Amino acid sequence: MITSIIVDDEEPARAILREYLADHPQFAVVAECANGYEAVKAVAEHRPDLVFLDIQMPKLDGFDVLELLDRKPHVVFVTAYDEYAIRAFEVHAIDYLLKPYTAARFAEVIAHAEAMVNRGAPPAANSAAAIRKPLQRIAFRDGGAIDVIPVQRIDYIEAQDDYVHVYARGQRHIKQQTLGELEALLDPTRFIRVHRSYIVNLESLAKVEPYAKDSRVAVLKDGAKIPVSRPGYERLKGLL
Amino acid sequence: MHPILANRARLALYLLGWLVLAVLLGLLVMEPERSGVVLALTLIVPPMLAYAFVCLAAWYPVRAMPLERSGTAALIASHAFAAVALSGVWVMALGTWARYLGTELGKQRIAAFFVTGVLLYLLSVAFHYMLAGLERELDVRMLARDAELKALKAQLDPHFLFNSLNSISSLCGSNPATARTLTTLLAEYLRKSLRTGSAETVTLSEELELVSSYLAIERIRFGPRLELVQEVEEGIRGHRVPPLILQPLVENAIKHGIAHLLDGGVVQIGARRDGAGVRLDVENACDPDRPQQRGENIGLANTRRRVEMFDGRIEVLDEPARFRVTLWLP
Repeated sequence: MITSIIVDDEEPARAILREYLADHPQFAVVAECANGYEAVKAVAEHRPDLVFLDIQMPKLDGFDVLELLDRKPHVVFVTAYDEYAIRAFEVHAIDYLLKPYTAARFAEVIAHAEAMVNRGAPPAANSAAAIRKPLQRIAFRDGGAIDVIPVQRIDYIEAQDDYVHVYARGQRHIKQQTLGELEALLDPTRFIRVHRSYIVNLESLAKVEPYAKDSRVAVLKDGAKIPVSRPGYERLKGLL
Repeated sequence: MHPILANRARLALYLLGWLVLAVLLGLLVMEPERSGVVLALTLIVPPMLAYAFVCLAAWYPVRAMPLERSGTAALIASHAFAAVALSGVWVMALGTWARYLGTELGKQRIAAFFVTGVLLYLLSVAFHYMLAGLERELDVRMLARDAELKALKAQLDPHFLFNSLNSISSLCGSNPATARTLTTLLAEYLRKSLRTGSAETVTLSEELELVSSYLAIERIRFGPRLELVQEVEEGIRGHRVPPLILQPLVENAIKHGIAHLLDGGVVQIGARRDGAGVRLDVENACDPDRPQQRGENIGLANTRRRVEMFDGRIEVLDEPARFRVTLWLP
């Protein structure tokens, strides 16, 4: 028995997947989700073999969902948009179903999925190349809770070993990612690496003050102070 | 580029007109019965054709001084000055040409040619104003056609179609009656948008019907997430508006508003009288955390251009949780 979850924000789109899947009794639908939040929770809870994932959904799109999953299932994307095919390929999706699709095409995809799951093929993966740049939102997982933050709300980001601490409006969010990885995803005209361990949002920056001989500190609008290295200061000067 | 010089056929036609004028003038003024037809024509035709080109230059002052934006006094003064100066130079050249051919013009004829030169130049100015007017009208019409085409294209959003077709495909199994309704709605929507797209104006009620069928389709897809409120003042349904003026706004309200809200929200459409015209509002709930957009989206920019071409006004209210576009149309 192969367990699966259906994720789509439109009820008719979920209904047709349900209906087509009923013809393939080796598959069991363990959950249906109407948005990305539900999907992340349901996947963590049910640990399905396969997820049918819509891409265009409110707040968390299909790729966001995949990125947030610690233990990734096999994924079949189901969408009306053909422009995501390359990104889907980059995260190792099993297949890409374009809406609307026939029962025959669905059977093909299902056969392929069954073979992949039974063979123990590697499931979907994170892929930096699949993330759209510049990043517009960051999603965080804290146990069962999920936070999605628009990047313009970030004040600054601090590196802590393999994690980053993202400070936004006085709140701290933690994500397992290196500062360098995150820096590469952010808009370089708005987010500046001012220090080996810090990235600052230019819009949150109030002023830069001399701190000691040869060193400076950035003061943010909310009063937070961040060290600025010499190359960091050069980068800041280049943009201001 | 000068509209006559740019096209060989037009230039030939223009010069032919001048040739006829030159022959007539030669036969009338130069008394060919005394000096001979050949001399009369040799004397008058080449200078006239040269003057034909001089008169083409009227295009530049005409373009620099559009009728509606220039004072009457300045218009008359500058064109009259140009006419007198050019005609004067032309008559002098004509006199030299006559002496070269071994004849004299005489004072009376010089005066006659000078007046003719002034009149011809002024005629040419009038002619060029006509040309400029035609060209502008053509421009406006092209712009309108362009906007209409773009609106039509934008509105036949393929994803909307594919998602609707997917809904139909799904409902065929689970709910054939609704599938049938949806098919009819989609057909109705397509028919209406194709029909209204080619009209100059439509009644407000036609535009609202188009929007209603669009929304009815989206209601089936989005279910309870999409809530609608429509308020239309009585007695204005017959008011004429540009076609597809509301539809792109309603589509944006869903695509950029409701579709990004987990629990959906309300789309509000309002139409009421405003003086002799109408005021139309499209308002939707939206996600306060939506990514910041750089610049205006294409649909909205398009609507703005069309509203302005229709001598209307547009206002956009962009708040964290609410987005509203208001149109005032004459």
